[in-house]
Amino acid sequence: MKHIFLSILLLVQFSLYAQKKYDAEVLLVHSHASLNSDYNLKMNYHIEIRINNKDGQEYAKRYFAYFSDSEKPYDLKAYIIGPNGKTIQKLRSREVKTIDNVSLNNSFYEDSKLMGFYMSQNEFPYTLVYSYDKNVSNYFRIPLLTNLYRDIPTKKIIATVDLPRDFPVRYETQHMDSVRVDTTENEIHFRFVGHYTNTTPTEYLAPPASYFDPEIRVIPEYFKYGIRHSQKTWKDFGQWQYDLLEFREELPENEKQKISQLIKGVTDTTEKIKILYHYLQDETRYVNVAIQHGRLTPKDASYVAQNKYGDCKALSNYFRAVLSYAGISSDYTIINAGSKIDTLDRRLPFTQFNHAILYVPRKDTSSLWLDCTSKYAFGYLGTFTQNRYALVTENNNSHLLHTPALKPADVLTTRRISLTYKLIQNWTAIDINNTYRGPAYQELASFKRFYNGSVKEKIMKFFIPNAVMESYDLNLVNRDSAKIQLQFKAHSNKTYVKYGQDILVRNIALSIPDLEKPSKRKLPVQINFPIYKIDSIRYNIPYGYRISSIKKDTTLVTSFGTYESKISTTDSSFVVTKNFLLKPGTYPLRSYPALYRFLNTASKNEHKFNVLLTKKNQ
Amino acid sequence: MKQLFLLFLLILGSTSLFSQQEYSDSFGKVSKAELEMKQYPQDKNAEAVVLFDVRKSKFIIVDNRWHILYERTTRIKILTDAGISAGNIEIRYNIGRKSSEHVSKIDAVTYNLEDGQIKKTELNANNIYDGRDGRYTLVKKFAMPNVRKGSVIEFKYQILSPFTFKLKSWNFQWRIPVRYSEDIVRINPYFEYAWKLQGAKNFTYHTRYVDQTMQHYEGISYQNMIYDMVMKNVPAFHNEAYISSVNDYILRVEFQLSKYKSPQGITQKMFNTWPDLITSLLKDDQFGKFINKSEKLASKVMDMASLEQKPEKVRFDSIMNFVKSNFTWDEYNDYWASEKPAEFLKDKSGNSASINLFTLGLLRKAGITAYPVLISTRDNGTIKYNYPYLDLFNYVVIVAQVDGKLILCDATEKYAQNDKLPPRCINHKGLIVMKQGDVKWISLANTFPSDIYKENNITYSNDQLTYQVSTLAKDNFALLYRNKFADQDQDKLLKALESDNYTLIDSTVQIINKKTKNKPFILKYSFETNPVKINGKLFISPFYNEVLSDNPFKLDQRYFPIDMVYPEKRSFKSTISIPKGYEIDYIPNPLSITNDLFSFNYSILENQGQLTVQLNYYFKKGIYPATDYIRLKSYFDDIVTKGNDRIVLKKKTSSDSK
Repeated sequence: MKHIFLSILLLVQFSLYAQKKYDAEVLLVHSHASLNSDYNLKMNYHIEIRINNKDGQEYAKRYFAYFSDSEKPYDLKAYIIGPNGKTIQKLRSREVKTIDNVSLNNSFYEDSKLMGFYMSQNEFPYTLVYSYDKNVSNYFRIPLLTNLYRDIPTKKIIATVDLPRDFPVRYETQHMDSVRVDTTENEIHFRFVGHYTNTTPTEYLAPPASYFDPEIRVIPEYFKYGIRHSQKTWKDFGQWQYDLLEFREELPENEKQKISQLIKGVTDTTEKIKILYHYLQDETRYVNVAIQHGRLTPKDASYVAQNKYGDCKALSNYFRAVLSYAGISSDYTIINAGSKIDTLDRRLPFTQFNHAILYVPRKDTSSLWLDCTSKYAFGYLGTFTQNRYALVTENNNSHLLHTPALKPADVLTTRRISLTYKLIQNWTAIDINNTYRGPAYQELASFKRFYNGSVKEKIMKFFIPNAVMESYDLNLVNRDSAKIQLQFKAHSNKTYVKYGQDILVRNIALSIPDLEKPSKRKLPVQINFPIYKIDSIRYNIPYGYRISSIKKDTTLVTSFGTYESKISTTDSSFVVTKNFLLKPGTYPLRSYPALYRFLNTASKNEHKFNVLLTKKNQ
Repeated sequence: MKQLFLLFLLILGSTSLFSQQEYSDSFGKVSKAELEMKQYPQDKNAEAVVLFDVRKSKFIIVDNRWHILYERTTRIKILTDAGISAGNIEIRYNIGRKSSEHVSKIDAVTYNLEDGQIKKTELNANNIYDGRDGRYTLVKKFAMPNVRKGSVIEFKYQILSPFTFKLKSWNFQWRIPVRYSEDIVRINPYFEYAWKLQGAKNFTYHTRYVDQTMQHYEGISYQNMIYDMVMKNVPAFHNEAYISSVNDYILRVEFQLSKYKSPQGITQKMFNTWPDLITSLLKDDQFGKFINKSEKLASKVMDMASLEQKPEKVRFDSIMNFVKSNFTWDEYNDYWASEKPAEFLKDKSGNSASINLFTLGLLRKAGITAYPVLISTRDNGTIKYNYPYLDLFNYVVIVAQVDGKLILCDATEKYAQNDKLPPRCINHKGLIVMKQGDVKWISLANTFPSDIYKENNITYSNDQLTYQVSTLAKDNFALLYRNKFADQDQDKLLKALESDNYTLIDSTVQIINKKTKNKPFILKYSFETNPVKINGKLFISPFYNEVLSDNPFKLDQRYFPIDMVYPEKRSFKSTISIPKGYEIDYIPNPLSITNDLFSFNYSILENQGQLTVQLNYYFKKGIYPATDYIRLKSYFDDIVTKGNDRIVLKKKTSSDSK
């Protein structure tokens, strides 16, 4: 329903931009799927891309990733049709490159490869035409292509699927034009037709770009991943995940002894979990090695116990085993992680996940969610996994469950800053005491932990533009508190700026989301978590000066959030207090002007000079 | 005997260098002191430290061919969480067209202190993974087990290499500090190498001596020569802005085979002179012969007969323009052409060598004296001039003699001036590949400054400031603009100029000489913005964010030269019409600096109701030594301060107005 709503919005909005010129355009994407022996899929792809200018040649670089030689694309043919409609260049086999792609997706190691080619011409426009076949032996869905890129159009999308009747599938589409299903005695034929002519821009606070893609989800009731298994329901699919963990939770004896020793004498279950979670955080590290079926199957708990590393699956499985040994039941849980919440298609059970975490159900108190790759506070999920559905795998009872959402208090940033102008040096001493939560906590905690001291110092020198850092101190309040404190001393000649007899005092601006003007905005709004900031900034008035002009107080109260800026004065100083709250939510495009007005008014107020100081005798 | 005694002392000296420490450099002998170490005294910020890194190389016969066997042993102390990533190990080794290096005997152990006891965790061989990184590099990867803050990791392995022409260089420096690094090279009398130390004047310790163990090859007995090079307490390598390539600065020793003498006494020079290398290139199908064939094809692609009648400069420009507008660079750098000339002609695209060697053929056919120039692009590092080794280059450009002047050029950059190299090619010197076998180097440096001139006309009315902006860019600045805008439509141009801080007047946006590369690129547009207005005073920025707003140099010191590629001149002029009823309240003081490095001038002139504010600066060199860093930093401070200062206008009092 949400997608239909978005489609209408997009239709209205995008018609304004239909005449845009593009560097390149995909003229046709045609995918064809059929079923081979042993339930393998045979895929054929035919693609035509028109390159309109030099910049468009980026789109002529074509590479295909594959994970095993049996799935390597074959029968690759490519040629270029020139502006006169004649074939002017053909791909030679030696121009097809195959390279190892051992570090795909930030993995430490992957056994994937890339195969591809690059053909170009200097006369525009020209059309690159290519086709290739591929056998797919592991799949959850039928790999049909739609729009190849998000920033250029795909004018025609055709996908055809020929399947035997005894190979049941379900399908859903998004932003496609038509679907035709023909059934014969033994076969079922699908023909999906669509286009993608209104490209999706990159805009801040927008839903995930995938919301605007044409999508064809043809999902077999029985997927194949090594073995065939049902994914008719989430319970079925979850059971497969659950079964993957079977026989993988045995821990070595020394590890068991270590666990017993760690929780000896501890009776409180939460305390036990916390102690063991600290042990996990302190002694393991994230290393992703993705080989063959290991992409979805966790490594054994004993592997992690021995090596003290693993990816999210391995670390979650290991910690589940650790808790289990301590007598605490937990569930291996899979989730689609990312700071932008991507809505799960609950109608179609199949893998829509990219991360594994652990769910610890509790009857007498709140249940716990534990990210076993995280070095953040105990029980802190963060922007990466908050507020979305996850699949909790449990024997015969796998089910979708919603993770808790971050609340304003969880993301609050408070800044306490004091500024003193030094007349002789003609610069301002800046003294900062800030506390960060939410995304800023995540970023700074990682920065503190994973950067070398010299590098940290170098980076902090750029922390405040136009200022010279004197010292800084970054400290976690405690390891289980999801906040971090920064003390920072600097000086700057840009905060109090002297012009003759006057001193103009610049506001230390809050960072407020900077959105495009309503006339330029194309996408609706999705705010994934609240943004909440409170400032208290004391400006000391230099001796011999008085306030000559002062900015007015401002209060904005809207349905999107609130903003307030107030100044109180004494003879020797003035204090600016500000608070800004942006609530999470999704808003249609028609609400955008009001949201923009709110944020823009607040932002403009933040960038105004606060005060003009003048010499007392003036 | 005396020599033997001396040798004994030297060897003893070599080992005692390390044994004076409280740590052992033997694999497996990790001390409690190393595990208890909390901080590296020489670098208290270090996240990890290489305790020792030792390589021993020797020549051995495998399958009747000489090979080099490298044995490396490394021990690392993990000091903080940030250092844990040092436990992810990569062993990179080479593969050639016909043969490959082999890695074997990988042994790796992590040590931790648990309850006061040293606990060993060995690497499981099943957790070593193979991959490939590019055409000539293979990689073995493994994550050390059980690594955490406080761990000591150590690993050793062997690489057997058939590539005797290139003894692998040895990096004494890492991105973490290195306490002890040693390279021991055992060379037999059949091979002779030249070596070069980069990044330091001397080793901490260095010796060479004759190995007393007799070796035998084809019935002849011989003794190896041993070179032992040690560096101690090497600081971590920190990358810095404004440098060309890390390879040019990291502390290391490099080797190049200069001679091979067979057991029969026949000496064979190993491609070790520039003339040999040039001769070989000229005979190659993908280089010299490619140029010759291109010359033969020239008449098929251009009307050479009519071209021959024209002046030399016209011929040169015609050919350069023809190639630039008809052939596309596929963005691959190389000095070997990627295909045959006929294929290149048909495809109309190719790598940098195909394009420039083909252009050379056309130039020669048109009677212009022109030669290929081998270069190393900026990201590939600097060439060592006494080190004749082809792999150090990665690109070829052209030097042509036109009207008696030598012109360096590159036909891959459509919008570069025909007689200028693009900035990526400006990297010290290039080797001219001439038929006569002469070895001539040519400076690639561009000593002429690139110019950019920005002018604003500022007016105030209806509580709005209007800026009419005109930018005139020459040389490399023009190339930057043309590469960004020349092939773009008006929509993209407008999007690039949009800002939340002002309202762009779309109808005023104009580009002059958009694609005419021998003329300045001119961009004009106007925008409106709200002025800062307090107490009736107008605070006006003459250059409105056109000048740098923050000093790019923030650090207190610098270790590497500052490579700005080419000298640059930037000029800014703003004319402010003083609105009726206003007068000047504040104008900044003028400032002028002139010396060998830099010049700067900031001035304000009032004339008939107009203020003219001018700011010009000129960085006179492409490369500055690190010793100039503090001065350059202070010049940037002046640029930022003056470039962002404001003019204050105030309302005239009523008596003034009369």
